[in-house]
Amino acid sequence: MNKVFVSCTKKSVPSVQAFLRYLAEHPHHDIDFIVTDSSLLSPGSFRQDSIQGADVVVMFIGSDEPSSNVIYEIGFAIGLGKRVAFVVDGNEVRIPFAMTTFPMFIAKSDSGWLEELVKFIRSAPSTQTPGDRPEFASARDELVALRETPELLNQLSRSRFEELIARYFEEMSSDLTVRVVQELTEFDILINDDESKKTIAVILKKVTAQSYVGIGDIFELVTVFQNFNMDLMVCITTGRFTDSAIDFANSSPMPLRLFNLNEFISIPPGNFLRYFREQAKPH
Amino acid sequence: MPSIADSDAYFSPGRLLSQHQAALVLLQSVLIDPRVVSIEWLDLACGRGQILVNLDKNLSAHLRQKVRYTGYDIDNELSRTATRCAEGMGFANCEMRVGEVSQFSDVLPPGKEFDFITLTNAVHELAPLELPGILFDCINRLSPTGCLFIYDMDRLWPLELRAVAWTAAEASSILAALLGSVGSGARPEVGEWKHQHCNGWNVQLHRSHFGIEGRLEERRNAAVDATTQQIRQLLSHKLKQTKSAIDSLARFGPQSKEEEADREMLLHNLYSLMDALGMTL
Repeated sequence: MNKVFVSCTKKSVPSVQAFLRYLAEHPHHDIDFIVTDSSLLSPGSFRQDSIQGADVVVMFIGSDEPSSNVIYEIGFAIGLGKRVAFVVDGNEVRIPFAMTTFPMFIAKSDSGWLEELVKFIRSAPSTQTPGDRPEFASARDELVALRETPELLNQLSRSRFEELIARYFEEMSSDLTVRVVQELTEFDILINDDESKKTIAVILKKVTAQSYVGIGDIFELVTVFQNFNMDLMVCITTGRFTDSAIDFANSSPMPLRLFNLNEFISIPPGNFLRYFREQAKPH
Repeated sequence: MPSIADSDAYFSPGRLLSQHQAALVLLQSVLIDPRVVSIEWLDLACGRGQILVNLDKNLSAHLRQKVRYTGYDIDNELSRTATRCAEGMGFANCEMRVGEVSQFSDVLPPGKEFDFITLTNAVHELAPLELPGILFDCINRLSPTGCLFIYDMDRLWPLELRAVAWTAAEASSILAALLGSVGSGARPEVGEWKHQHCNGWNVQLHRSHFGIEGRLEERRNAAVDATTQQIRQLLSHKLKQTKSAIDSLARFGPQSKEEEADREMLLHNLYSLMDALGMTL
């Protein structure tokens, strides 16, 4: 099932209506629209969640040069790794150079462009939305799947990421008591190792897969955590840490370990507990 | 300490900042007592008098008439703005004193006590090694029922060379050293404020909570020494950490726009911390 977000300008509404009519007459059960009517009723309204939840984003630009709002939506969608296509009314529309590399469909009176557009939508790999999310046997399986699909990872909500990491720690050992911290504090998950009596604080940095977590964030972590008596601090990101951030963390006398998602789930499950016990400061 | 050239005392005629509002609520809680006919308020490092903006909306004319206001700051255009602001408030008395903040107790009339002392948005601008003396003089100038209200931020934007911003935990340890060294068992309760771009912190120190009768003067040297020692330790630790972060950045270079800003922040901090510790680059 591919979810499509349709963005339109006021002038492009007739083309969008033609597109929707075509789909009504030629039903495609593998295509689902996140935004249809509401978008048409208020053209130009920016729907961040809708774009996040879509596999394909189709921008109906109309006959004018795209407005800054449209370009903002396009940039947002591209940044999230969505497949993006444009529909323009006529050959004369001026498109910014950077956008010319994306598929473009010209709305004409015949239905050829509609068939091509539907073909394009159906060819996009479905990332499946949260509602369609398959059941995973374990948090580990889900995290492995997320690692393989940056688009899915980008769609993951922060609370879901928190929940997954907490479950992952629980799966790794029954010696660990895991608590997602609800209070407004600097850490997200607190873990007590019942056998070694050590406490691990987990901090999550949920960013897009392409984004960096830099030294400023880690400097702040170190500043804050020197006031807490933690045996180990683990910072996990869905993006990447900069080299400076890693170097600074490694040279810090504080027991702070940084992991991107791949590194985190690459810790062999059989050695998981031992690994973290070794990383924690000795009592 | 000479004033910080980068310092830009906030002043917006239409806007009362939340930290100032908090201070005024404290003041209001004292003034609404019908038995209180007059209070002495020292607004230390008053800047342009931002705390006075909209004060007439927070305190009725009746309450304002109970206030004897003393503003204190360096002699520059800022305090002239504050003077104009204060003079229009209908206080029972209004005076502006000028001088370095570290000298305030020498400038003010000897023995004069205050029921309310505010030190807002200013601690980061005070030379860290002068802070013990200033804080001691503040609590020493409190009347038996007086309260010192401090608010500051744990980081600054725009950056200010020479400014040292303290976190809530650091402020707590400094104030604990101060109170402990004057023989008080009171523990400072430092509240954290979550702002969009930084965290703030506040503390209220009530003279009646110190558990010490009489004046504190004879304890000044011991208190300043102990607090200075604590501040030196904190500064050294902050410096070591900052240098380590800069070393990492020097090795790999910034990899994002944010990290370029981090580098600027760290270099500012490095200069300010070295300056505070009397080290030269």
